[in-house]
Amino acid sequence: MPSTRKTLTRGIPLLAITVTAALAFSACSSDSSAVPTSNPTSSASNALSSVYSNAAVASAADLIPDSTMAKIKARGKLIVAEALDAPLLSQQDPSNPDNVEGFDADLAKLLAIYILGTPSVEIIPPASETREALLQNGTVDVVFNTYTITTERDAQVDFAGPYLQSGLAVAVKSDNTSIQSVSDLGGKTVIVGANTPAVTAVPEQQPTAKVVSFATDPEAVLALTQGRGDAYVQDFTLLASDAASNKAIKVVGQPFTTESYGIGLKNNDTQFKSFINAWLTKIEASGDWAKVWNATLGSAVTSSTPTPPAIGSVPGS
Amino acid sequence: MNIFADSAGPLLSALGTTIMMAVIAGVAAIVLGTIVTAARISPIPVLRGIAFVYVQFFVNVPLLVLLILAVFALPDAGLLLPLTPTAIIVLALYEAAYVAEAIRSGVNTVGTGQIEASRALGFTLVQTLRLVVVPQALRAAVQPIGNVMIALTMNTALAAAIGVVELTSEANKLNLVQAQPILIFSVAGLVYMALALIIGLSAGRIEKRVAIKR
Repeated sequence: MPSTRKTLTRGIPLLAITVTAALAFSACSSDSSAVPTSNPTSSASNALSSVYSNAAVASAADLIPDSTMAKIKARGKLIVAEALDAPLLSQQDPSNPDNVEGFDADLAKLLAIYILGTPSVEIIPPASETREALLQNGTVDVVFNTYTITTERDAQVDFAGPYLQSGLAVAVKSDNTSIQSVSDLGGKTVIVGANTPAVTAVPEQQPTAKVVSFATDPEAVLALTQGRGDAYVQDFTLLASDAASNKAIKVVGQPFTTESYGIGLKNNDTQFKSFINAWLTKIEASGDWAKVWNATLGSAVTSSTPTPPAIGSVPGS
Repeated sequence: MNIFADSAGPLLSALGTTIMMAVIAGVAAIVLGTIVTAARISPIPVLRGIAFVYVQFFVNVPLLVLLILAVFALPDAGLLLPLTPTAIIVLALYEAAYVAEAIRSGVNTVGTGQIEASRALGFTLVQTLRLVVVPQALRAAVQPIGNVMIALTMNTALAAAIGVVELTSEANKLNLVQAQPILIFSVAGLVYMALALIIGLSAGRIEKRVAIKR
């Protein structure tokens, strides 16, 4: 026995080295860079590959010398603050970390093509609470992060767009028949996503509702099914996709707010803002916007492709 | 500083929640930690083993993992506790492991000769622990326990991730409206710093007061 134990203990470091080496090799071969960079050729949704290959590219005259877009062009990549864990909007593929897909992620790639000619995007995942700081200190060029345009935020940053309109809706457990819409939420415990517009919208609509916030959408869904709250208020599209994949919950009523999402930019950079608004107008007119919507958000809901919101149509944009 | 004045009510109540969590979990952690240490140094192998496993488990699993497990896994086991009590219980269990290690370092300052002497005088195990070892060990461990209490207070911020409305969570909410993260989180940081300072200074005073003059 003693000799066996000795052999075993001697074997462990060797095994550890082998495993570490194997892990290191496999990591190297699958991922050449530490930062997730978007690469549409490896994209699973081939529906969008024609959109990428035919996407609009800005003319040289649009890239005004010394402007933000000219600096991005010189740098060779667009630095975007976008989530890695938002289904349909900006979701990293766990088996292929280079592949980030969704409405926000795909629009960011199109913007990179517009400026650079290639979809070279460096992603910095923001916490919702740090978006303003990331823009103000120049860490990122743009924020694509379901960033609701508000006048308070407009005092700190600039918004191009809005590029998408959505609204908050109510989800309940499938066996719940007493809650039909947001007006039935008075006095109830309502689950919301932390740092989403629902945190402030629910108390505005129903001051007597008790709000409980959870960090991520899957946690909130789990909390609803486990009975930690009577309802879950979240973006309508996200709820529709949750309800489609989870029979234990259902969406009731219609969206009760209108959220206008904008592209966050550094404050007072009017050149860059009008440049991006011009790009939005182009992709909306060419139908690329609708194609991206259909391939991402549209896959979760049965409604037809919406009309993009008019640029500058909300206070703060 | 208008943005803080406008939401002073919710902010103060959130600060109250933070302090309440820290105080209840802190007291519970000190009591539990003392018991764990007593088990750890007892001559009964089973108790020693249990205490060892307890400390190793809680020191080696991240607090956020424990919180999320307690909130989302326990309901599947048929136990649905409200969020704030869940967070307090998990915090107390987690920090008790650190308190136990701090007290154990205090125990090591008690000379073997004293324990031999108490046995020679016919003290039972409980008497030896209660009258000789623990009083001296706790005195030596006041500052380390103070540090654990500071860590506990900072760790209450993690409860924001599981829906407890405490200081960090309320700061998040305020920032969502006001969009001034640097200002808001700097102020929240200063409040946490003040709490840590209060705990640290109190620990220093308690240490002086309970010190045995030799």
